[in-house]
Amino acid sequence: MHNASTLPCDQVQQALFLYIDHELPSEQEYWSFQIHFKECPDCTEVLIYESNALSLMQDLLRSSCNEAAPEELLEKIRQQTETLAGQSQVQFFS
Amino acid sequence: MGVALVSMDANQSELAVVDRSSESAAQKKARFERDALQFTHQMYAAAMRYTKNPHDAQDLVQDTYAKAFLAFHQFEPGTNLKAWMYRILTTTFINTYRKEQRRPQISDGELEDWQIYDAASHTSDQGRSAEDVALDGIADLDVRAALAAMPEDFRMAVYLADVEGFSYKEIADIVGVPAGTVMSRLHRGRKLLRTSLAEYAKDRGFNRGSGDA
Repeated sequence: MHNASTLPCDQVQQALFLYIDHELPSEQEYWSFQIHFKECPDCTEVLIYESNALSLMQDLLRSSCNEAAPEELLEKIRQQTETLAGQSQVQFFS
Repeated sequence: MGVALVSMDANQSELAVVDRSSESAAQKKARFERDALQFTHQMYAAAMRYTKNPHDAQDLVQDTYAKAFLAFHQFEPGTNLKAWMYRILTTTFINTYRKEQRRPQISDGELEDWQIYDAASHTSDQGRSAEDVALDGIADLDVRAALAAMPEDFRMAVYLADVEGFSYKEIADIVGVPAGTVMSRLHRGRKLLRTSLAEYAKDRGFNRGSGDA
């Protein structure tokens, strides 16, 4: 079945990461990609592979880049906010 | 943008009722403490990626909170506070810490195409399944090291998109470059990272293998 709105495979695969990131420029294009995937098992296979690879990398990044801020820093920020709030009050009411 | 309707900050809509013109200094402080302080841990982890050391990361986050408090009246309640905080963090890093570190920066153009090509062809040489299997054995330290070794612009784009979940447009605002540049940095950064993670994982695999023998 030939559909006028079906994109060529190379175009789909080149912009695949935009599709995965939900960053295609229009909803129209999003639908064109979905129509293509329905009709093209090869591109669907690449889509599944690439989506999984990206999710895996994102999971790795999220689980390894989550150092907690030291308590010392939290305390410094609390004190700093108190000090700055005090200063701005003086400015407003003097 | 019709596609990207998933909002990360649906819970921020409740902030829209704030009337900043009649707000007292004490109320502003309370609102800052309630809304902005929740991001300290995230900001610290991001600052660790930017500065690569705990001392500078602490200073950067503290500076960010000072600037954010002083500019808090300019923040439009109901818009994305996390993105606003990240813009201050990133701008402060670029303007202050990056200059102090005096490390050579690699801009988009300077990472030569052969490096990208090399990375990409290397990945395909190993075969897809090898790369998949290998990533299981990778350690947190490897992931951090792989990120730290990346050119800074790529590292920021990957971190902001893949850890924080910001859109290209949000990253463009945070970093101060066009969305097209974000797209290219992110795409190339992910490729580099994937290759480098696969390398780490392969080494881990070999080490495990030789330990058993």
